[in-house]
Amino acid sequence: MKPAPFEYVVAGSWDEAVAALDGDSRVLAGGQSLVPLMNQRLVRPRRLVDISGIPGLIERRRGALRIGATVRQAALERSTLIAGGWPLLRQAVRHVGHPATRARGTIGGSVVHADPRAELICALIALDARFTLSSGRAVHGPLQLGPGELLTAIEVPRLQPFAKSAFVAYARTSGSFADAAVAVVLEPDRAADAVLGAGRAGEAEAAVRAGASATDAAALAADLVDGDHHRALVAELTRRALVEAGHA
Amino acid sequence: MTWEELIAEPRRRDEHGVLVVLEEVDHDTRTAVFRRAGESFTVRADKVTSPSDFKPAPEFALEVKVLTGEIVDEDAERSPAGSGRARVVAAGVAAAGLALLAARRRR
Repeated sequence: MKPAPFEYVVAGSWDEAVAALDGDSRVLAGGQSLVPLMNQRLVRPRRLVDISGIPGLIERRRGALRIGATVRQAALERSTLIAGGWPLLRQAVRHVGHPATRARGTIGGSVVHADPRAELICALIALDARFTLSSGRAVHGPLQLGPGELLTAIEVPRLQPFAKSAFVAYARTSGSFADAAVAVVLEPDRAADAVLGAGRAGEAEAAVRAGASATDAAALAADLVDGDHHRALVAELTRRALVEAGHA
Repeated sequence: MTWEELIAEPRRRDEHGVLVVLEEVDHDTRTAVFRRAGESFTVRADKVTSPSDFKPAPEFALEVKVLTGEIVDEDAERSPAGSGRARVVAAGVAAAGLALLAARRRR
């Protein structure tokens, strides 16, 4: 199928992109989610604002990571900066689609599209990431864009020395959305456990900090989801992630 | 070109017209990674501003050691040209290598 007719605007900067936005427009970054929806005519924007030409950088400054919204998932995957300082992101991005989609797809697109099964969002939640918007607002947690707002960057705090992380996912076929996934970050005085589509497992994190076993903490994380199969899946993935991150 | 000028232009074309894209910048170590024709390469900001600031980095010292090793190569001693001539040639090669390395460090 072909998309319904639309007006196409190329933005060379964030200011131009914001100026081009109106109530019936959509933003095109990598197009890996939006274009299939438009082709099926599930989405029919009057105007498409293309931000793929706005340069996106992966930067480290004073230990903190800043990822431009237009950074391609493939760039995230091959980044030595990410691999050295925030390996959880590299582990997670490898579960996103397949190499061809990662070559075009952007990290900002994944976050804004906000699919509950998006692996990158799960990892970013575990890393306490903060989303910077074109309006100057910074958002922690689930991202809700206001009218005329754009995600411009993602900021990830520095991990403590000796931090360990793990990302474990289960998908029926390689490249498809995961049925369940868990991201774990263990630092000397902090534990983060994010469950795909369900957010942070606070009780499980508290249990880990209190010295509970990986199996016991995993059972608490499974309480975030419904259905016997899904619960069993989350419990096992959490246990594996905790063990992989060094928690017995 | 200064470090600030280098990272100010995230997309440029080289002399062959190939697009060179800046992908990552580490401000803490002053290292930048560029992407060109499907390959990544790393650029480090030169911290040496004058000859008096120059301090050999570990990798530099390692390269010098390899070149020094060639000077005392036993094969050169036994070559038909005679040990004296082999030493002169080897020393010349080493000097050229050192000059090349020094020029590379200054860039």
